Formats: sequence, structure tokens, C-alpha cells
Amino acid sequence: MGYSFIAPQPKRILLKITRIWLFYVILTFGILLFFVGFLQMQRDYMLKSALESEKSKQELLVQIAALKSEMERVRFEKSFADDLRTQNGMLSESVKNLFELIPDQITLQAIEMERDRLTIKGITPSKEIYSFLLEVPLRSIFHESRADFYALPNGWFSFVSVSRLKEEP
Amino acid sequence: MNNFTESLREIDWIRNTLWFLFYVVGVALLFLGWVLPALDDFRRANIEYRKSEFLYNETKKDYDAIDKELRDFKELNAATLEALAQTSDAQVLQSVLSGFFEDLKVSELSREKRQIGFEVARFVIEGRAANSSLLHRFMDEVSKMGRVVKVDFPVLLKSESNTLFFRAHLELYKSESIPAIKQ
Repeated sequence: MGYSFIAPQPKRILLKITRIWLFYVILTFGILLFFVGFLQMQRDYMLKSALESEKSKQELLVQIAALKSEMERVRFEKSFADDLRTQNGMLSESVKNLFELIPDQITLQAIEMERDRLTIKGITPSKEIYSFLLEVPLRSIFHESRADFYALPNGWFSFVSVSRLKEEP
Repeated sequence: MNNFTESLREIDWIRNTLWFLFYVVGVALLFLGWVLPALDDFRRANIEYRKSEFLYNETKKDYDAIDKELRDFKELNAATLEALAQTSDAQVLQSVLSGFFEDLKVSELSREKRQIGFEVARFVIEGRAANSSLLHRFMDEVSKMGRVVKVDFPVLLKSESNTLFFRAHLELYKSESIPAIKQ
């Protein structure tokens, strides 16, 4: 037999409406928590990547400096080797020109070339032939040119010609 | 319709309104105090990240361009650079030059390291050439011997019983920055 006019209802600590609102509040908080967590993770990842990129960039800059220095050195060496080739070519041309300079009447015995001096030893039929055919072109090339003659028994002359270039100031 | 009005009547409007206000204010506060700063941090980190990536990529492009330029230059001038890496002694020079001269004598005068980064070996060579054209050929081909050579003064040419006596100084250069190739 019942003692109440109404049927018994189960008693809850929180009302139904409170439970519904609490569920949405917690759900919203969870979504925001997940979102902020995701942002933090992404932020940490990007900052870490940025640091690594910066470190790699610094390493690359060091390597670039080394490459530039190597490039400069290699270019210098190439140009140095080219200069030497040019100097050898000029010396070769000088020797060729010198042989062409000697007239047929004059017989060469020795040529000594130094940086600023040319010594020619040879035999000439006469001093005039030497003066006209060899001394004139030598004087046009060198700043000074002089020759010493020694008479030979057959009437010809042995000569030693020394021509010099003055150093440019 | 009757059911609907009844269900509307059952709603606790005051409690619901209070919850709604609490929810809106709570979410707004959370957003302003927590999400927005996190978004701002994210935005700044993103700018930093993109900037560093851009700078890295530009630096990498520079590096690649210089590296390619250097490799191309080395490839183009491989013969010269290889010649600069050769170390030579009198014996090597003797075998290289024997095609030009008879009675060839090669002696090393000095070997020194110069400040411009080269090791310079100075030799004096003496020999006899059958005719002057052989001497000219030597002078022309001295730079093609696979070594960086300078024919230096004093140069002596002397006529000796139908042959041409030749004496000159040779300077052989070896780069200090290129690893040596020993023969």
C-alpha cells in the first residue's frame, strides 16, 4: 500500500538541464583544449624547425665563405699559370726575333740573355757591317748598346756586344 | 501543437538563460584569455618559421650556384690545375726534356715555399740541340709539358761544333692548396 500521492521518481544530484549544460561546457572546453594543444605543438615544431634552419644557414654561410675563398685561389692560380705561359711565349718570340735580327754576314758564337741585358758574341767581316746591320736594330730595342772588337788574323773582327735595358722608374 | 506548448512550458527558462549567459561569457573569456594568445604565438612562430625557411632556401641557392661555378671552373681548367698539382724533381724533368736535347743535364738549384702559396723548384738545364728549330719547339712546348713551368733568365745559347748549346733556368710551380700528385 502506498503512502504517497505521486509515483516515486529517481533522485539525482544534478538537474537534467544542469547535466545537459555541463556536458556542452565540458565538450567546448575539451575542443578548445585540443585546439590550443594542437597550436602549441605546431608552434613548437615550427620554432624547432626555424632554429634548425638558422643553424643550417649559418653552416652554409661558412661553407659559402670557404667556397668563395677556394674560387678566388683557383682563379688566381689559373691566371698565374696563364701569365707564366705568356712569359714563356714572349721569351720564345724574343729568341726567334733575335735569330732573325742577326744578318747573314755576321756569324754568331754565343748569346746570353738576362732580364735586362743581352750579350752577343760573334764574328763580323767589318765593324761597319756590325754597326749598320746589328747595332742599329739593337739600339732601337735597348736603351744602350756597345760593342768591343778584336781583330782576327784573317782581317775579320770578333766582337762582344752588350746591350742593356734601363729599369723603368 | 498542444504537445509543443506543453513542452515549452516545461522548460526552466530562468535556469536556461543563466546557463546560456554563463556559457557565452565562459567561452568568450576562454577565447580571449587562452586561445587568442595561443593563436598569436602560433602566428609569430609561423612568421619566424617561414622567414628562416626562406633565408635558408636563398642561402642554399647561393651555395649551389657558387659550388656549381667552382666545379665548372675546375672542370674547364682541369689541365692547368692538374699541372699545378705535380711535384717534380730533376729526374722527372730529365725524362720530360730528353726529347729536345742531347747530353741533357738537369740540376736542382733550390726549392722554396713562396708567400703566394706556391712551392717553387728552380732547376738549371743544359743540353745540346741539333738545330735552332728544336730549341724553338722546346720553347713553344715547355708550357704543354703537364707542369707549370717558367723558362727564366739567364739563357745561354752557344754554337758548339755544329750543335747549339743551350742553358737556361726553369722554375716549376706547385700549388700548396692543391693536393700533390707524385710521379
